[in-house]
Amino acid sequence: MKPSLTILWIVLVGVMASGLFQLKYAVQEREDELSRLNRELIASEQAVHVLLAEWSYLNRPDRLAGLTARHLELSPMTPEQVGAMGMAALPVAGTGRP
Amino acid sequence: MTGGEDNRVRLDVAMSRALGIGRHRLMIIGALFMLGFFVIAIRLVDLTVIGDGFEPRFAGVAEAARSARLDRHDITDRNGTLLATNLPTASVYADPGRMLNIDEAVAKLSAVLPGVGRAELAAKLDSKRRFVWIKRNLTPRQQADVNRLGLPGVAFQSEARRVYPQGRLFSHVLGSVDIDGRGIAGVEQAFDDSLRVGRDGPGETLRLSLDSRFQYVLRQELSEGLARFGAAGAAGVILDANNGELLAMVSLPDFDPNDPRDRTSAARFNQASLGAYEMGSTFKIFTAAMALDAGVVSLDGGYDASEPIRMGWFLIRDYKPKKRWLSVPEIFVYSSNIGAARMAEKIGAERQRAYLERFGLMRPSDLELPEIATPLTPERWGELTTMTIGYGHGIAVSLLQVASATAAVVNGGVFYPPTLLSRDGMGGAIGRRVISARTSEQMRLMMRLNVAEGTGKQAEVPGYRIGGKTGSADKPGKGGYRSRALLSSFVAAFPMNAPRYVVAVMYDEPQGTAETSNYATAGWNAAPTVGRIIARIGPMAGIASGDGDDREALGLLIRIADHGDRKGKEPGVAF
Repeated sequence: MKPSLTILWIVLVGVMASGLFQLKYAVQEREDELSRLNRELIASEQAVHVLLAEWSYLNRPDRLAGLTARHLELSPMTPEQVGAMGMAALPVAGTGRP
Repeated sequence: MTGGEDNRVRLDVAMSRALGIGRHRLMIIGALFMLGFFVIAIRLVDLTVIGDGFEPRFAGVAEAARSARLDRHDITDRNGTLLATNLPTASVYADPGRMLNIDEAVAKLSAVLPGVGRAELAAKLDSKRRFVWIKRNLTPRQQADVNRLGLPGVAFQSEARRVYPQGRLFSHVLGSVDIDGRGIAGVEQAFDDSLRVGRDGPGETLRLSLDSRFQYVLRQELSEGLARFGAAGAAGVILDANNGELLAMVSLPDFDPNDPRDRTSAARFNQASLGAYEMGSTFKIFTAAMALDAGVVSLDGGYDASEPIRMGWFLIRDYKPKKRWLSVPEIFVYSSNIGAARMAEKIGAERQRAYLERFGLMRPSDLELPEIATPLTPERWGELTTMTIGYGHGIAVSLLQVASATAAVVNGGVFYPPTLLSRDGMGGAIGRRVISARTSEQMRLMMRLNVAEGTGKQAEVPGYRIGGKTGSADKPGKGGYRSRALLSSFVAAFPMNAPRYVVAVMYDEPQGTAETSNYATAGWNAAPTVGRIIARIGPMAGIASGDGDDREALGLLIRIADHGDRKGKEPGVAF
């Protein structure tokens, strides 16, 4: 075997070994990143879950009724305030008046 | 010569033998190495190409963690409002075998955690077990406090706690779960299997047919009424008249599902679905409907109600006797027991039973709850029983059953089994016809007349056509009926030209007050409550008011009802 061929093999093995080494660490880094993202995802989902529960709690009808009474000048709708389309006076053709 | 040759030959032989052995050994070793490398190569291919590397394992972590955290699905109402959900909490447990000083641990833990007794905890920790719960579902602050103690052998387990953001609003319908998250009442128990998160992926949120706005109105009006009329209990049901969907169900007193200690047996009892009561006059709806449907009597027919009916020792009387012949609408509007009993007598036991069966009043309701009453029906169905059932005594059913049977009476005659699930996902409701559309129309008129002119007058809401029937039943006591204890109820439907909702309300032992002119009957308590409920939920449902005055249509009925001194029966009024 020629010495140059041996040297070529040695270099090739060295390059491949270090390449593999780099690849392994790159993959490990990605894996760490992935699990970190997953943890973040779970944490966010959990936070959303808690916030939804809180939203529902804050939207309790009795609480809303209290807030409305305190801060708004609105009162519950009465039956007289709801009508059918047919009850509305339509403008008479040509006059533009009901 | 020969010796030398021999020696050389011998030497050659020896050398070639040694060489042969050497070659063999070399080949065996070579083969072993080859085998070794081959195994390594296969393993390499297996690890890198075929088998699963690390990636799938990591990718799966998220899914696994998510389903482990959820544990139990959410429950929402028909509009998506969250009614029940799981929130993550931590529970603290101990491994007594790893604890250094149990007395010290007991002292420290009971100081930090409220509700953990010293003696109780010491007894728990003084065992051979390797796992002892100290306290479940800690608050974040308690968790931090326990953590700061730094006790060996004490650790946390992350758990989920069932939370009901709407508090008491849905207590009886939703029910509750035990400490391990298993449903023990209401919807939580009925749908326990589908609420649990299975291993095969996440399931779905349970969407109920309930409407939290309606539920709120019903509960608020009932609790106000409970206080105003001094009643021992109250219950109410709102049903969709055209598909059997349950929109609201309230039973008072109720309990806080978030507080497991707040559970007296009286508060836990669902009076709307689990309580079977003799409903009294509301049953006249069904008596009139079956009489008209079977052709026993027509709307302008009637019965003599001038004298109480004596059946052996038993006397059937009217609450406010008219002492004359009464037409069918009059019997209904004045709530005449005598008239209803006569009507039931003409229907007969067999037919009455068949109709009650069809109205779903003879067997437990189909609603998906564990708390469902089994109706109390008479063993012997004699003539007297037939007559008393005509005005709602001698048979005990739940308010829910009365509501769903009334829905069938007013919606055109089709009975829909009540349900807690939204029907629109299931291709509409499947109902069965129980009375003819014509009978249903006549019943709507009579129920409307009762609110416009009769005992249900206080349920009238200007602008809405409400129809209904009152019922005030004496509650059974020891050896007969108690005269002072009433069960007053009102069953209504609206709008009466095309009913959309059935509202049923019941008060247990209401008292007469100055406001009700000392009356404790349904017309003075249950009927006005229903009126107030409808006045609030009607606009929410977008039901237009004042679509025509129906006095004209009612006029015909009023004329029939207004027989006054008329003795005979005039021909000609047809429906």
